[in-house]
Amino acid sequence: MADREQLTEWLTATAAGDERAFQQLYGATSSHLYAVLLRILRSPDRAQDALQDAYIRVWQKADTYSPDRGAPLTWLMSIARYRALDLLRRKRPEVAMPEEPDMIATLLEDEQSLSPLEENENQQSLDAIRHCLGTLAPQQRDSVLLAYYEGLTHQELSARMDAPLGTVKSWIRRGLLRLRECLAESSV
Amino acid sequence: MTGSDKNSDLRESSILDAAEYVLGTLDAETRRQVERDMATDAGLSQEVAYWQDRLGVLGLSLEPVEPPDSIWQSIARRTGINTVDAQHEHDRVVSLDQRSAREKSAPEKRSRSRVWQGLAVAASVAAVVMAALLFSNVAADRSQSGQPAYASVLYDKPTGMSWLVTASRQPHKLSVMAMGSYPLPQGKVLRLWLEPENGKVVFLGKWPDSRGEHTLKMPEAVAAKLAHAKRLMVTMEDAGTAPGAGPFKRLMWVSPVARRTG
Repeated sequence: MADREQLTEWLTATAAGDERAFQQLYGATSSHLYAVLLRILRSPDRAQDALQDAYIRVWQKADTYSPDRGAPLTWLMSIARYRALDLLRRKRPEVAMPEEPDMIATLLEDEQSLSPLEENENQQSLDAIRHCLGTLAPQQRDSVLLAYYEGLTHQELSARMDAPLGTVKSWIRRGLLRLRECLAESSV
Repeated sequence: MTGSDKNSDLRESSILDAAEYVLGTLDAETRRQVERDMATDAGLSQEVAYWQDRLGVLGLSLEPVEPPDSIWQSIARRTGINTVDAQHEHDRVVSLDQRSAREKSAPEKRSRSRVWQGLAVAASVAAVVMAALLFSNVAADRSQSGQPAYASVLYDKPTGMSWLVTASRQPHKLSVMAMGSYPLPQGKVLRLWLEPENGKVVFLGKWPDSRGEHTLKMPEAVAAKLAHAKRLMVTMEDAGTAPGAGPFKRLMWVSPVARRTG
């Protein structure tokens, strides 16, 4: 994967209408975005639609990216995730890929599951958030991760975790505040 | 409640709105409200950016999955961009006539490109490959020496420029008859490439932009690759740079290589 500086350069060039830079940006980042879209949408067709829509938006809105708003890859990731959430809210897929119930445990505990990250900064950020997620109560942590990776709403989380809606909302909010506090302490 | 407490509550509320907005757990109405507030509240907007950056790395913990090639082709079609990669460019070129209206922003984007780049894009967009280059298996070719074994015409619609390409087995050469002069931007050259069925793209030589007959001689090793050629490509590149190595390279025309049947 290209480093942050290179991705920023391509994004800036894309904003100026440089088609080759846009293609290079796509080549360097699409596999990461596609992985997340597959996870959330659980359907290759829908994930591919979302991926297309996301990069169309990148092409149109690249000029709104600014390095002080975060790393290029996480900015791209957000665009893709928002698109996936839009699609998800409209209609749940009728044919879904199989669930992976141990996904959260894997993400938190199995170092081998991590893809090789060539960018140290990303790895440090990931280490920090993994550490901070580990400091949350299990229900707080699970609700945040389920929301992120599966795009679940409060109501869906309530059903999935078999807990009252108010309780789930509280888990999420307390978990996020604790996460914010911990990340600030980690100075990441 | 003290002023300090109020500020703290506001701060906490802003953090949660931003975090849940990024996480995607807000209901539709609250989500829209956060979007409206972001337009006027720089602090909220900054907080959203913070969470996008922090939670965004969670996505990087997943094993990357390569999307199908067709996705890039669709993106290229929808944005109307001129893609450089031959794998993608071929399909884009042949589908040009059927292409629907481009995305709204594409013309605006293009107008920001350099003028000569725009010229190249316009030329490429309208380029039509009128006939496939008929490279059959060289070893199986039984045509008489000196007789054209393969022929093709490349046609650039906006300029009316065309090239007639013929190839002979002995000696190993391509003959290119340019039917006019192509308006090449200053400092640029056209280059011809061969893409084999398997393996890397091979540089064949400079593609002529001036009227007349031109000959491209090929080493035997390169000529042998013609037997397994998938397509020919012409790129525009910076003059004075090594083929394919310069900072600028734009695919202009693609000619699929079909097996000769007769």
